[in-house]
Amino acid sequence: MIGSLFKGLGTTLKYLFKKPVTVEYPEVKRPVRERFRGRHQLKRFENGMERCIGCALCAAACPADAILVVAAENDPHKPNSPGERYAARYEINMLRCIYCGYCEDACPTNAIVLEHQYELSFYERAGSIFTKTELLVAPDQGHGEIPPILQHMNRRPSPPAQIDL
Amino acid sequence: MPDVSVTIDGTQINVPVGTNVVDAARLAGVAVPVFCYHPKMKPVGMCRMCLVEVYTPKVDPATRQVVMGEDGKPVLALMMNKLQTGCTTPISEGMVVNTASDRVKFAQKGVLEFLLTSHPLDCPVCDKGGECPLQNLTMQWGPDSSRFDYEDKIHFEKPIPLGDLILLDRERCILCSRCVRFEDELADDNVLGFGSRGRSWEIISKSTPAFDSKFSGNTTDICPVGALTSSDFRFKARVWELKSTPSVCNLCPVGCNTSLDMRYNELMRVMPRENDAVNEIWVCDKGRYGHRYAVQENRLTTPLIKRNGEFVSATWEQAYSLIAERLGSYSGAQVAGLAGPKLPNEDLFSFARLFRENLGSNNLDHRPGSPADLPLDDLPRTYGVGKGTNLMTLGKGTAVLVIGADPEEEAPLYQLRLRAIAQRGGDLTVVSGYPTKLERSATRKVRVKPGTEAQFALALVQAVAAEKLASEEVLGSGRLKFSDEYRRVLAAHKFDDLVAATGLAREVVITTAKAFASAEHGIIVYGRSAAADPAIPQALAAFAALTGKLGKANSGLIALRPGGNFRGALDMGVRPDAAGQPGLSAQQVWQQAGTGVKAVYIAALNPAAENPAAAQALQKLDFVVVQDLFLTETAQYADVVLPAAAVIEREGTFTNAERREQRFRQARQAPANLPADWQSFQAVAQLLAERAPVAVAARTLKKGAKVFTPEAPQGWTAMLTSDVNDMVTRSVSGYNAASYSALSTSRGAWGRQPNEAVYYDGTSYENTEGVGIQIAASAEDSRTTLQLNLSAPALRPVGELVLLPVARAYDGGDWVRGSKLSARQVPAHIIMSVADTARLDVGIGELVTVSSAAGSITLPVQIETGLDLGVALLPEVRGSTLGALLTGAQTAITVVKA
Amino acid sequence: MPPLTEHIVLRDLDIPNIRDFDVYLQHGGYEAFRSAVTEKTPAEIIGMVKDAGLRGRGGAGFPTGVKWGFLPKDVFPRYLLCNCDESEPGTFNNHQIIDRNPHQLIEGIALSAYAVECHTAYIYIRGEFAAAARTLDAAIQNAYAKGFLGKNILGTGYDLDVFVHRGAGAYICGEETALMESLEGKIGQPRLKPPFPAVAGLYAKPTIINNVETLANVPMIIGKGVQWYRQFGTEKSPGTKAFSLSGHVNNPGNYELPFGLPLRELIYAPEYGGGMRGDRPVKIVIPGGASAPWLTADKLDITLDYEGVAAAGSMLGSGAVIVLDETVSAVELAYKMDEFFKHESCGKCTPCREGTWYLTKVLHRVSTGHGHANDIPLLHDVYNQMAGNCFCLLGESAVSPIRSALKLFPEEFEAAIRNGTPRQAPRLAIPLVAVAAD
Repeated sequence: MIGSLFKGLGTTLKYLFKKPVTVEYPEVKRPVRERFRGRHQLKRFENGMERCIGCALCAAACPADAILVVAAENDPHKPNSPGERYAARYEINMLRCIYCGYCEDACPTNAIVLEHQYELSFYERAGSIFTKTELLVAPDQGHGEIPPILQHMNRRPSPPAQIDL
Repeated sequence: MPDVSVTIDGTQINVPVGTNVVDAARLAGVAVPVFCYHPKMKPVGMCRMCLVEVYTPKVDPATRQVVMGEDGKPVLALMMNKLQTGCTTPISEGMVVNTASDRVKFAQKGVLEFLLTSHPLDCPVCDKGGECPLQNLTMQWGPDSSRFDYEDKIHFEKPIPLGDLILLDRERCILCSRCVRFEDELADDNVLGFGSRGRSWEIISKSTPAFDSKFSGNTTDICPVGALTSSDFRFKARVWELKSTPSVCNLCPVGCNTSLDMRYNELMRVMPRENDAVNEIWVCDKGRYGHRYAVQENRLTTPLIKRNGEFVSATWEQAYSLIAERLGSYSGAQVAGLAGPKLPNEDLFSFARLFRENLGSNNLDHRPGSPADLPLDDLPRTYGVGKGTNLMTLGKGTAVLVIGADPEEEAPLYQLRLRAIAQRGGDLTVVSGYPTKLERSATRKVRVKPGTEAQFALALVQAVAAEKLASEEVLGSGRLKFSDEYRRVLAAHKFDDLVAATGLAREVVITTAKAFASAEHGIIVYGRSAAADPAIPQALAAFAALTGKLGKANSGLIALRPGGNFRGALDMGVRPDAAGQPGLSAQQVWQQAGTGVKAVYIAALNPAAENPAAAQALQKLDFVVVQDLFLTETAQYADVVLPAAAVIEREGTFTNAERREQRFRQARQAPANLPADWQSFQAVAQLLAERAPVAVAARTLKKGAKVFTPEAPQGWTAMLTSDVNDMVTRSVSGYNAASYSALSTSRGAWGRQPNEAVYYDGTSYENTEGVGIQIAASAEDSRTTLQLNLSAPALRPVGELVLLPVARAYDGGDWVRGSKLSARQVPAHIIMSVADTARLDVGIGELVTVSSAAGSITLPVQIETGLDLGVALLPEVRGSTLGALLTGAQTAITVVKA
Repeated sequence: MPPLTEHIVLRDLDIPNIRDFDVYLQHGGYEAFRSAVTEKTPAEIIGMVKDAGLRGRGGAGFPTGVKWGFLPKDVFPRYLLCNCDESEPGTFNNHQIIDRNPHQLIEGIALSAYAVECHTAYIYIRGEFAAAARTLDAAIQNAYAKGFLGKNILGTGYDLDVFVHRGAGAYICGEETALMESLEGKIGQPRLKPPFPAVAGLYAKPTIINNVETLANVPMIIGKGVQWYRQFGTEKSPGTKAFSLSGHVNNPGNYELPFGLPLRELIYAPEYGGGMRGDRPVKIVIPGGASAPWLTADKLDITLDYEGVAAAGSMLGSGAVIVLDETVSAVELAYKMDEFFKHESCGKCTPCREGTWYLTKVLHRVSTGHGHANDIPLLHDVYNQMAGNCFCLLGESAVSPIRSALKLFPEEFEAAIRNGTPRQAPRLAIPLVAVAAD
């Protein structure tokens, strides 16, 4: 019995000199893994255009029905996104979201990405609904070229179309 | 039709002669993919998607006998030694079709690869994505990856507006020409065409204004890709997000089955729902784009009570008790009720009960009380087309007589359906005093002198006797009874005089009468111009009865009157003559306002808008209740205004012009939980019943038709719309079989089958919620005696010009609110002949002052080249204030340059 | 076979100035027509044309008399159309007939119209032949003036009106049903067959449509008799054919030969082609216009008649013999020809509209030295997906150059793809631009 007691105390003593595994959250934050799925971000292209084209495939893929997309037509002179269509409303209900990442898989333009932010707590339920303004990254944080399919969709060459006849 | 036996992918099947390979394969359960072929249109064989191997038995050219092989079976030869397009190859005896050989698969894959070379593949942003045949066919038949360089794709300007409603995306267009052919073949609107050639071949709009068709929305349905999109639905939603609710359009008496596609509580689009006996798979633009009024922000949401000339919001209890208190304070003769013919049957029934049972009043009407009102006419109840009528099945052997109607304006779908009967070999006679679009499709175009349709109709009755066209069967049955007036009118109007009045040759009337009498099925469609003179429906009913075209399917009368549910209004008894002592008509109500009539309850009608007399009369009344969606012109005069749920926010039934009762469902939660119209009627009735037991149960019926036969007081205890419908089925003659469950379970759509995603006829919805029930015409009961009556035709008034009111589909009514069609609404104008405008020296758009005995108005002029001298047409559109001008069915006017 | 002492359709080579009406009349002009309308019944004329074995010169070689016999009885009005759209690359004999011997064509039309009992004939002429159309108009006026056309012709009570209609220059309008659509004022695109034109053609009425050269043969058959006519040519292809010889020969031009002479003679005989330019060897012979499969030098001994050319795997078509020497690259030739078909595709059916475009794209990159490794199987796939699957014969025609080129000269394609640079600088008349420059 005494032996067990010393064994236990010995273990305690051993860990007293080891580096602790816990951190003092929230002052200290542990880095997450590369492929951690946290809060979503709506990305932009290098030139600042929104990647999201409002196709709502993320909403279709979402198993928790957490995403709402309402599309609208781009103003050709001042487009929000490449192509004719953009998301006028984009909302994710973080209480419903299960962070499965299906929306990421479904997105044809890599617009929606589950990033590393995981601090999601709300004082009221309405706060759990993240709107486009919260989800969209800053205009200077875009990356990547607009793929040709989207470039062409936005191009409105003047008639006659460029076919040799 | 004889059947031929063919083998399709090993399945032997008998199909009628003339069936093409695609349709035959479909019957055999084999899907042959198509793009350009559409079952409602002639095949063209353009897209080459339906290529199949077709083998026919080898025929010895010398003996013309089928060559038999050693195994005793006919030797087969590949037709023309190449693949054939299934849609253009008719089936023949002994044919063997192979739709799955390697050669066929290679060709189909090739066609898809070719189509995809020029396709932008922008499915994520395409409105058709999710219901797109190109997607489906590519999944099933197409190549898995492209060998074509993306950089080689051609790009076009987009979108190109073909009109204000339809936009074209040339990159997505696969040039199947379905849209062009729909407009040319089915709608008879020569508005679309092709420009250029080869890879730059494109769809263009040829008309001014662009894409000027009342059926343009259907082209987006049948477009097999997302090339045609409607500005109404563009980028609104993805199709898989939509929840479809079966509904019925109430904007005209066709009663098209529609599908209200909702996302949550928002109306995204209106789509046709197939019903072969009503709208097949089509819906007109009014039905498709004309339902946005229900989702307008300026809808009324609370009851309003006028205090000191100002409307103030009130609670429902306050409003109901005020109405009950005030209405109950008058005698039955002092109150009147007007309920619009766009209301569902349940509301109209409750409205009639409220007045007849609780208020003891027979002053009921569904017309606005304008001089332009049509006289009451309920002949189709007796002589209407019989149960089981289906215009889609008619063709050869059918005679259709369209008289005094412009179907495209009054009930647009009839334009498609009647034209289709003529195209299938039916005999279509169009009798009109002015140019209509349908007469272009007619077998016999009969242009009478304007306003002499009555003489023409009477001449038809005379021709029956003169040419011995009467049906022996009907005469022999002894069912026909002729009134004295009938004999007197016939004696007073000689055939030759009548014909001379119409300005036609004798033979025209006789051939028309003969064609109708000799046909197996005879249908008479009469519209606004014919219904204005009661002599015309009477003569037409007599003509149909004498020639035996009554009391059976596909034969009889079809009346086109204003109001989507005018038939329901007549049946439910919202008319002065339905029971007991006839009450006042709407016109009489306005005349006696303030004197005989003290209070009026108006639901879903806006009489003050077009009729200054009604507006004045409203001011003389002690108490006015208006129940509507908006604060209309009429509502301004109300003491109490009650809001109500719109059609899309409740359920109910409508009865269409062919007396088919159809059920519609609730698609949306009403704003502020507004009650349906009948609920307000019931609430008022309950309060009245508390005050006094049921006043007068109208039991003494007017002689003739049994219309309104309430049983012992049923109380006002309905909880659901179906409870009201139960009362309707118990009380209204003919409706006893039309319970909600019966309306919902009856099927009979034109036969969609598995693989419909492949065999693509458009995005119209399958009808799973019932095709409705046709209410039998009373002539179908062989025991009924048929009292035929005639009256003398109205005489053409003497004057410089005769004014005829004509109906317009785009009439600028309340339904236009929020609709993309608002741009198509024309301002009020008068249409005159070339000669008359030349005489007056006025050009298009110039103002003239039109004066009649009743008053005068100033309007711009339009010129119609086909119009006779001495006639002017006044379209019934918002702002025409017809009521100020008309003196009868035809009005003598003078026109001077303003 | 006797040498041709007298031309049948290119009579301007025998009789100078036969384009003048008086000269034509002096040389027996309109005598055949006069004798026909006054002495013969329509059935007799059809019989003579049948017996003479006259075959359609437009391409298919269908017996003309048999075609006339397809008209349904007692359905009137009927129409006769003269197809002068001559749009097949390499063909130019119709132009010479109209330009130099127009009256014979008019007489042929009058005779044929009489034979098929029609009272209205249209000459659909290629829009670019403006001068020729004026010549025809003048010739028609002459005939009217002499009473050979118009009401009550030569007192017989037979009426005939002939109209010249200028097309807008589309290859597809040489196809008979597309020609009718164009004549009716619609977009020039082929119609679905059946119904065939003989049953429902122009304005949905029975219609006979014949090539210029076919109709120009008729006056000689009626005038000189069946026996005289049949002395030329072969048993199955009687008569003569005006061959349009072009390409790298010393003397290109129209040559009228009786059917059945060897191809070699047309190219090398001094009175015809006069040999190859610079005595280079023949590489490719296209015997029937751009849509005919190609022949190589080993086929020079075939006979020039419908059967002989067909036996060699090609077709006589419109008789446009294009002879090319070894300076021509098969890849470029295939590209140029498919470029033509792509340009002329009407767009009605998918395989032709998209397939010609696809072929041109691939051939362009191969011929400019930017071919991909798998382009040869791709080209095989694409033309096989077109062959037999198109709405009308234009798509089939577009297949034939590439199919011939790949069959006969696969090594040139392999070389073009392997070497990466073209053997010659590409000569591109029409720049191919798919996407607007950024």
